[in-house]
Amino acid sequence: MAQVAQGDAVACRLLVQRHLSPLVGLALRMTRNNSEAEDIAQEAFVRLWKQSKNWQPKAKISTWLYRVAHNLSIDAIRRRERQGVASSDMTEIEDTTTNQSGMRHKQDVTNQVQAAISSLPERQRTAITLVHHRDLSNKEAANIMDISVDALESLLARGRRGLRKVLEDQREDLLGAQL
Amino acid sequence: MTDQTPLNQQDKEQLQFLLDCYGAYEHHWPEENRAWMLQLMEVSTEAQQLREHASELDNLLDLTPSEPDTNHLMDAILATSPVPINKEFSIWNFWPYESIWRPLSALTTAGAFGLMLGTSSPNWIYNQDNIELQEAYVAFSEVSFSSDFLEGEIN
Repeated sequence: MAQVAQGDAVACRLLVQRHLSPLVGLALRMTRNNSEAEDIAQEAFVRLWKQSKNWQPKAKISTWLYRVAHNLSIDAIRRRERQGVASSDMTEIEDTTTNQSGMRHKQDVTNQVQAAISSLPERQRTAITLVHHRDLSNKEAANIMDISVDALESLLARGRRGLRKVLEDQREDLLGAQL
Repeated sequence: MTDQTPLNQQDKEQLQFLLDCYGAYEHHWPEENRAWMLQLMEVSTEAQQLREHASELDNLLDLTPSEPDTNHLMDAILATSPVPINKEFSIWNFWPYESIWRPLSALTTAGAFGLMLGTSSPNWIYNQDNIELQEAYVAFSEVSFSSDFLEGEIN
């Protein structure tokens, strides 16, 4: 981080390469809006650059970035709700690895699971993304969401049960796709 | 060595809750519960079945990509990154020389030359003034002022 503060271009590039996609992924899961998610990630990095000179060595960059992105995403969602504007750019993350024709069935399954995740309340989606997809510990995820570990566990349990319920009907089909 | 006897109700509820929260992946489990959960998995088939059931959802979640393509954002973000310290605005941006030693040595040489000149030039001027005075004195002493000395009108 000290190198970033001194304007080391290589350090900055490495940092962005490492954290940008997961950050956009989290914001996209939360806002379900591609352009908003990208704006949020960019803003998070701008704030990181500003903070770099006063960076506390004990702070973890990924956790800090996720927390900023989480807060910005909440702001974006609330702003959208206040304005009563439905997102015209609802997007899910495109899986670029499954575009081959032979993988169509798997792509269908992926889309079903994506749709099931999207149907969850925002906080449950966020909790699942942080713990399952970002491999964060329960304490880190709770810290990012500014909630207790108990509250996080409640969100996770409800979220996973909700997903299981939504996907139950397609269980056989879905399980076949995993093989 | 697995045990076919069912889990006691308390352990089962606790394990089920943790698997509901964190899924079947060991690295997602809370640190404080991991050893206990692993120990249950080792000794109980029922615990293994609960884990297997939880892993179905994990596998489905793994199918969904969570990191979009963001290469197009890289340049825009890097453009806002901190500039190197020597490229920041400062008085040195206007300094036309690479190093300070070259102009500094030229200034020192000029200063030393000035000091040398300053300390030696008063003797020249003093000597020059003395010579001129002596010549004037000699010239006056050789001229007669008795007849044609123009004194001008007194009144």
